Amino acid sequence: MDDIDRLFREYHLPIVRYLWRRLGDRDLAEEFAQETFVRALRHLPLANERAWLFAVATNLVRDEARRTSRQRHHLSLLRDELTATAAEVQEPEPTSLERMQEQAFARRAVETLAEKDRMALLLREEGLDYHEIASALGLSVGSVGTTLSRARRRLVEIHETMVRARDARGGADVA
Amino acid sequence: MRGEAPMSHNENDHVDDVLRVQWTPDGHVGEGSLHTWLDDAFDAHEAARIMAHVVECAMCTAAVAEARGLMAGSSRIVRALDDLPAQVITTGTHPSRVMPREGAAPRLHTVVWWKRSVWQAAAMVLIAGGATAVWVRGTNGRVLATATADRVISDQAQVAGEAETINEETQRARVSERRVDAVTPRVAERAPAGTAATTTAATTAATTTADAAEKAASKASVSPAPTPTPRATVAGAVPAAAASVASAEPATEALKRSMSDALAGRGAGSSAGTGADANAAPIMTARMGARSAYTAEARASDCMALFPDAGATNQQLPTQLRGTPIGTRAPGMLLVHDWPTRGAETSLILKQKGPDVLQGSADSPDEELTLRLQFPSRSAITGLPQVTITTRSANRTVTVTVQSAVCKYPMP
Repeated sequence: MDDIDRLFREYHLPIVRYLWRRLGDRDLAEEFAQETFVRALRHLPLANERAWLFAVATNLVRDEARRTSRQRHHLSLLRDELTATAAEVQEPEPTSLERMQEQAFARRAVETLAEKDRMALLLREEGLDYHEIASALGLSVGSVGTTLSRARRRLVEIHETMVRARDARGGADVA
Repeated sequence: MRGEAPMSHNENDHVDDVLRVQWTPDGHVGEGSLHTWLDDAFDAHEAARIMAHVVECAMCTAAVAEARGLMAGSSRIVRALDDLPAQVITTGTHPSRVMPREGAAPRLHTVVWWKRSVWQAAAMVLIAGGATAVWVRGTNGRVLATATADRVISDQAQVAGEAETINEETQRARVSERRVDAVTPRVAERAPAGTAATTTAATTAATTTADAAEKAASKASVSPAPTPTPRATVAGAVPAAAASVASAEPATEALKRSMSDALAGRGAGSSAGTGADANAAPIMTARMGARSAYTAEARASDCMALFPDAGATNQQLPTQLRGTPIGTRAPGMLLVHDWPTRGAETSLILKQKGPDVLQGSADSPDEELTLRLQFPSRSAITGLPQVTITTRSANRTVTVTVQSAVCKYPMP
């Protein structure tokens, strides 16, 4: 159990953050992270543990995307039920309107990326090296740099387009 | 459900397990390779090849600068997805306690509410304090009620300040990991000593302020006189916190004063040389138009604090002059107010006209500004008559002149 303790302490937070950024749903992210570690428990010891964990988490996300709408609806109902029964669990107040808007823009911009680009970028943001990203996404390591450069450029360009459009509409002051 | 193991790979996918530089047909470094290089993924040999080309090729140098901007910008956008500080994202249950029966579906995971976040704890403290105030007021303890409420608000400020500090430290650590020099990406990032000190100072400031408020509240509770009670709200705590830190940590006194001045509405340069200390001299002061201001101020004797390794090598003296957006108002940070090049593609170059004594660069991926200075020669920095900061972003270039920079460094 020492291994799983160490794995959990070391990787649980990055995994949840990665999943949350990808899914935009904290409960689901935590559930998938939990599932990731449960599977790790079954497969210990792991050769390349970080790559393995992120790969499993990535696969869980992909599987989720493939589920039928009925299954997703069912999951949503389960979450609603949990939220209703745990009335004390409340989302924190947003710090500001600007931050909410920034988050919405970021979410929309990230969602516009191709799945592979998005995953590569989020994995890199979690500190995975090129070999680990390649392993997790099934890419050649030589293509990771190109994938990342494309993802970064597109993300920034899309985000800037959104910001400019907002400013042109005379939206909220960003300063 | 899949996920039992990493995805299956095509046999051909791993033909090139060793990263090689990709060149464009016209002999430049491919964009993907530039990102790979900036991500420090090449081995030493390949990195050296790119380095040798980039220093000679203006086009690739520009491409490197652009790539750095894209990296910083994309990181900022991804971080914007996090609507909570990283430390309070989750209180996940250890898998050993939720290991399902074989074949059983994984159960959804709930979070114990009191562990949810520091913010909620702060809110609870505030609510409890409000209730206490109402109760005490109802029992003709008007003065005591005021004091109690102030104390509670102080406690909230302390908790919130610590949470915010934790959040910002995490974000900065992540930024620091990615920030690489455009020309020498393999230069090891030194641990930002200023960050730790500032973070400690921030926590200390919040604590000190809260303690001061607590003492004042206690005093108010026994004195019927209308003594002004310091209100340490999250926003209002900043100047007071800065003042508290100033007395405890002389090395950062001027920085805190500059931040306080800025928060109080005094613009850039207004705090330069305003310290009561006769030794006070601004290290740099920049004006960036009517809406924006950047002020960094320190006494000459503070230089060693700003550049803690000055006496050690004197070859590369990175420092972290920390800035924080005014909206965040974390105590103990150098203020950068409305940095004008907030955006995805921003780079900042700091050069001195005349002798090549001081060079530096910084990224400004958002409001936060981090300056890193590098001294390529062993000459003493006794005066910086004029320094030009050129800030380039996607759609504008801003150039300002920095004056009144005086700083002396002991030579090894």
